[in-house]
This record gives sequence, C-alpha cells and structure tokens, in this order.
Amino acid sequence: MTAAVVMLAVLLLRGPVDDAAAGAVAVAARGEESVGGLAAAAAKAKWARITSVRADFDRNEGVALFEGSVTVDYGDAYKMCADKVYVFFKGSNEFDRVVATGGVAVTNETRTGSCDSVIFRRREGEVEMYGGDNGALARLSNSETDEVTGRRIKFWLDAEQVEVSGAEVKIGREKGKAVSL
Amino acid sequence: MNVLLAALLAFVSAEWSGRREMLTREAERLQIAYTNCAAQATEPAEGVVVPVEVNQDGSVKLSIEAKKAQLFLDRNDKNKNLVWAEGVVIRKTGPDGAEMSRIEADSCVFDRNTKSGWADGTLTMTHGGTVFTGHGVYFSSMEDYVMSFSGSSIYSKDLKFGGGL
Repeated sequence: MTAAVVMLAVLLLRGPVDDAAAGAVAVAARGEESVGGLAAAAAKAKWARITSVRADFDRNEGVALFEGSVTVDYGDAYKMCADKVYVFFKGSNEFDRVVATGGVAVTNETRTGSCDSVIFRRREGEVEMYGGDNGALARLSNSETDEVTGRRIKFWLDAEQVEVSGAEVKIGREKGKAVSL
Repeated sequence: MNVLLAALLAFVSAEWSGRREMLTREAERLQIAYTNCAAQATEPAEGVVVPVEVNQDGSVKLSIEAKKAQLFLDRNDKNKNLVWAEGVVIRKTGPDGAEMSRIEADSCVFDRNTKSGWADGTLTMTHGGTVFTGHGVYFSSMEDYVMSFSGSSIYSKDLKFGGGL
C-alpha cells in the first residue's frame, strides 16, 4: 500500500526537460506510437503510470486530482485502483500528502490491501487506511494466510509497527483461525 | 468517511473546488472559442511562431509554434485575442533559456490575454519528470493549471521509496 501511494508523489517532480526517457515517453504520448507503444516506452523507462477519466493539475495551489476509474500502475511492483486520488503539494512542488478515496484496492507481488480511503503523509512516513461508512473494513494481507482488517489500519514506512482500530486478525486462514481484538 | 480525512479534504471542498469550478467554466469558454475559430480558420498561415510572454531581459518566456495558425482579433473587443493553430508546440523557457515545459497538441485555440487555451484533440505536456496526455484539455500558463476531460494519462519517473506495500 505504502509504495503505491507514495509513488503518486512522482507528480511533484519538476525540472528542465532534459531526460531522454521523458522524450521517449512524450514521443509515444504524442501518438507517434500506438497506445501500446506508449505503455511500452513508459515501462521501458520504468515510469509509473496513472490513468483516469478526468485529471486536474493545479501547480499554483499545489493540488492534483485524478477522478474516475483511477489506476496507478507500476508494472509488477504494484497496482492501485480508486475512484479519486488527491495529491497535495507544498513549497516548490514537494509532495506533502496523498489521499485516495472510494473503492481503494492495491496489490503487488506479495501483498494486497483494500479500503474505502487511504491517506499517506510523507513527512511522517505514515499511512492510514480507513473502512467505509457502510461498515466495510479496511483490509491488509501480507500473504495467502495472514490478514488484518479494521476500521482503521495505520502503519509507518520505517517501522514494523501497525495500529489497528476495530480489528480482526487472521493467522493461517486456511486453518480457519481468526482472532478478534 | 473518517472525520480526520473529511477535515483534510475540507480544503478541497471549500476552496479549491471553487477555483476548479471557475476554471472549468473558462475551459468551456475556450472550447466554444475553439469550435468557432476552427470553423472560421479559412486562411491559416504556415510555419508560425507567436511569442506570448517575455522575460524581463526581453527573451521569450512563452511561445507558440504551429504548422498552421490564424489570429483572431477584434478591434471592438479587446478581450478577443485568439490564436487558432494546428500542429502546435508551446514552449515555456526559463530566464537562462532552458526549456521548462512543453505542450504539443494536434490543434488548439490559445487566448493571448489570459495565456490559456483549449486543445480539442490529443495534448501532451512534458514537464520535468512528468509526461501528461489527455483528450480535450484546458491549460493555463497564468494559473499554472492543466485539466483533461477524458483519456487522462500521466507517466512519471521511477522513484524508489521503499517500505513495501
């Protein structure tokens, strides 16, 4: 989850257009290559791809909003889907926090997560996943057998600590074991 | 939605959404202007370069290059100062002459007064480590704002943050 959310921060990068990869991706984006070519160019350059129906970039106010079937794709590393994704900047385009809302789902090679909304605060290096108003819980699993669910799941990038409110932890799900906290 | 999260997004709801709505109206104005200009662009010039904004030292800060372009001015309407163009490249350069951002579009209309425009087809913007593409795009140099209404894609450089999922 963390890596997926954090990757949205790449939108903040600014600087002169001197990157060969940028040129390659831009050429593809201009339609001189197919859509598949565009994806291939980005993949080759190892760039993250974010798609949505509508997108707003407000550098003046430091806000970016992606709306409508938002997907964040970073190859095999992770994928995230959500209805809306906000990216907030501060200062000279340094990203401050990222918020994804509505049907948030994340997966990578080993772990999956889902929740109603999630917020990542860069400076604190913390991630908070929230369940929905309808009672749906946030869920985070790190293997086929271990899973934690709760109304709120909070964890940090640089620590193993996880805080869970209204939690249910399942260890060895194939054996039907579950512990409610 | 969680109370804290709702509070966090209050900024978006209360202030930024108003700005977004205002600029959406501006996008609609330019979309109409594009349609009108495209219909009237019967005698476009070829190989056009239009400087839009200059730095304090006189160097060009913002320019439009186009394979074909036609100016639309109205003596009776100071607000009408439009450029309709095909095969467009809009460059923004810094005081040192380095290119800071580049917009490429199949066709667009650009309002030289508001320094904003509407691209009816595909637009690609390159800015540092980000490449943005969309279909039906409003862009404003003055507001530092870009909005795409369909087929929006953003490609961004690889950053390794660590931390796992």
